[in-house]
Amino acid sequence: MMSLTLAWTPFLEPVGWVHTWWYLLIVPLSFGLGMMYKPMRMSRFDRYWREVGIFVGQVTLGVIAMGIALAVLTEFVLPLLPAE
Amino acid sequence: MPEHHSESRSGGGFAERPAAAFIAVVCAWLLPGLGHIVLGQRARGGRIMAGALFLIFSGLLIGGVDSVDRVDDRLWFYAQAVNGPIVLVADAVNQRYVKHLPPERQLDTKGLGRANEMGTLFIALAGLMNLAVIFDVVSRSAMPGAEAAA
Repeated sequence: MMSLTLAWTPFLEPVGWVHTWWYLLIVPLSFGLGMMYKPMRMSRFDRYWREVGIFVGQVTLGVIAMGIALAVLTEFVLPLLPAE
Repeated sequence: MPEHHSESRSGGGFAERPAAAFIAVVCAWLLPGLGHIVLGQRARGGRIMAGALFLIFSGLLIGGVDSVDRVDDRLWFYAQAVNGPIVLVADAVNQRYVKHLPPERQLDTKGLGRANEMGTLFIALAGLMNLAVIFDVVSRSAMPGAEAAA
């Protein structure tokens, strides 16, 4: 394990754990997008980090909701359709 | 004291000075957020720059420089290229250095699966967001100073 960690070269080699935990990256992804988006929408920045946090929550919950809706559609609704 | 007080810029809109507006747009492409800083909106530009650099370097960290590939991922590269020279340099490193490594070494550097997808996505979304930032620079450069700062 130690040798594997030392062998990884940042920015040259992809990180390995992403293949298992890739869906958690929605949080830093929406965080970065919020950091870029909110300054264009705000006239003053005293609530900047709060607004970015709300943005991250909205995006994360929105993606989770869409995932649940898609799962319901494919697992429960579509099987009810007649085969022919 | 609210930071937006330091955002105001003296003088009329940049519509009266198209060359200055053009320079601001070019700066916004050269480095995300720099266009706003050129317009005198340092707090806004600094935050945009921090967000863009966070996304770009996170993408490169997750997927390696192979996340930027104008040959194998051409359509993604078009979106990524809106981030400016940072991405072009990453692609040059990938094309001229990483892709010429020995085959056994490329087993480690080639981004595959989720790592490549997420790294590519981070940088591409930063580019698309920077396109909105560039439009915002165009919009603000056409406004009078106080209105553009709002």
